[in-house]
Amino acid sequence: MLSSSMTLYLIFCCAFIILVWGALVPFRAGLLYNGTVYCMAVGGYFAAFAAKDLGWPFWLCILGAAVVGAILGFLPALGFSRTSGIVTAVASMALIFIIQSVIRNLDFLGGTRGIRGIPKIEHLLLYSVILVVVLGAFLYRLNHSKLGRALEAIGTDPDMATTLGINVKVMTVFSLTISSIFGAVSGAVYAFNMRTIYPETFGFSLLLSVMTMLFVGGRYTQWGVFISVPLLWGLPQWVPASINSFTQIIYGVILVVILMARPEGIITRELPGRIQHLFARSKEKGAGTV
Amino acid sequence: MEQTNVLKVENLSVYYGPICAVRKIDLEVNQGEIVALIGSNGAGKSTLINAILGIQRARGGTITFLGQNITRLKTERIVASGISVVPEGRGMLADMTVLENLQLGAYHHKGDYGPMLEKVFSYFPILSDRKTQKAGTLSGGEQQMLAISRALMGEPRLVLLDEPSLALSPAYVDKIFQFLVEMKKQGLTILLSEQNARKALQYADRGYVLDLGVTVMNGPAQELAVNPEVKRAYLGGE
Repeated sequence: MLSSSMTLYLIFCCAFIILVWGALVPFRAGLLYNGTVYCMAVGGYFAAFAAKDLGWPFWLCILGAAVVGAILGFLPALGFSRTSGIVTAVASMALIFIIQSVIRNLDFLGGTRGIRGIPKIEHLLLYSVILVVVLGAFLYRLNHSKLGRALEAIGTDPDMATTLGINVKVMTVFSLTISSIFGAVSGAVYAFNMRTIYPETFGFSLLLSVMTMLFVGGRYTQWGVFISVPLLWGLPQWVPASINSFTQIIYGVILVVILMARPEGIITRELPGRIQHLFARSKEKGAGTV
Repeated sequence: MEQTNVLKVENLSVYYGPICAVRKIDLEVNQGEIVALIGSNGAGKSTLINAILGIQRARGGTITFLGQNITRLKTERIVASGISVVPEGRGMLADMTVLENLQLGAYHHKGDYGPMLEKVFSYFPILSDRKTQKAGTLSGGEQQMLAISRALMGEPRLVLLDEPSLALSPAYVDKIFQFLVEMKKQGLTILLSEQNARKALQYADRGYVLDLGVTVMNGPAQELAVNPEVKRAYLGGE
């Protein structure tokens, strides 16, 4: 049996893997979308409210969070699809501050005190792993589909993508909506794991963590998060308490160092292909010696 | 009545702000022919191609493709309706693989693009050899082959080529044009802009000579090639 702190840690990792995947989808289309964190707050609060006050079961809460996240992500996405990448980055950051202050002022969501006593879910770790597997498989399919290629084409050269017949606006809205769903689901998992939720969580420091995890792990493949999330999420827990308050600084330093040493992150675009190649070769060798 | 002209441009004018880049141009491209737009820098060739694609909005006139008015359609709709383009400078998605570039060319292909992919690979085996390589690692000539192949992947009715011979070695220029003639024989319709008037008129069926945004001459390519005016201005003859 895993210790309870280890279980907590692993569930947080699952939540953050889903969250960073959410940020990854629009990134392929060349958009630095900070709204994933906004949707994490939406999903987290929805799940907390539905579970505690309405008594919904776990999976219904997750589903509801995904739907609400999709809707609340879709609406601003309609606006972002008309702007350029840099405007999206700045404006979507504003969404985070808006949702924080909205929640602070809603009494039924607990205001600044947040929601406490969210029901405990048995087997939450198992459920979280299931969610990671399902969403990961979905992301893999998306990345290797026509739509995934279209997103990458938009990220590389939007004008060229248009002349290939890709509707850039529609694809932008699509990617931001998918991102929002991932964000909302991760928020729900986070809420069930913390069992309390308050608006301060979903602030600038969370955004910095997400971006660090995305850039350190590698923003061109979906595999980087499996290294960066456990590492960076574990960091504050492993280092001595005396330097714990410097976490933000450490994150910043790691981000800068990685970007200088390995601009594409730990798992680069080519690495999965090269590993596959290596496996194929060693298999051939093995077959040859038999 | 049988629809013979694939593309019909009537009275088209395009402005960049107050500057007129294309003035009241008429142009027709018929089924299964290669039409060349020739002229010097700034003659309006690329502007005309961009206007057909809807990248540059026309201020006046109409563009009709297969009987449908496409003047006000968005670029992606125009491409979806069966016009594809090989942009000037090839427009490679350099960080994506050769295969991904080709697959993106088939973005609007309704059915299975497999047969078309095989066809392209049989014409340009080098692309098949390099399909997992990044497009940016190909040589200039190979990139042009890829750009043309990508434009064919969606099995379009009309292909627009903007300066296909730009920055290519003479050997590649002939190879590219021979390939276009081959595609024409299979029923493809082609409109291309070209500064290399000699080559363009050698392989095209008809030509339009553009100067400062207006058509100064048009007719069968062989006639234009021997026309003294054209010879003097564009072919470097005496």
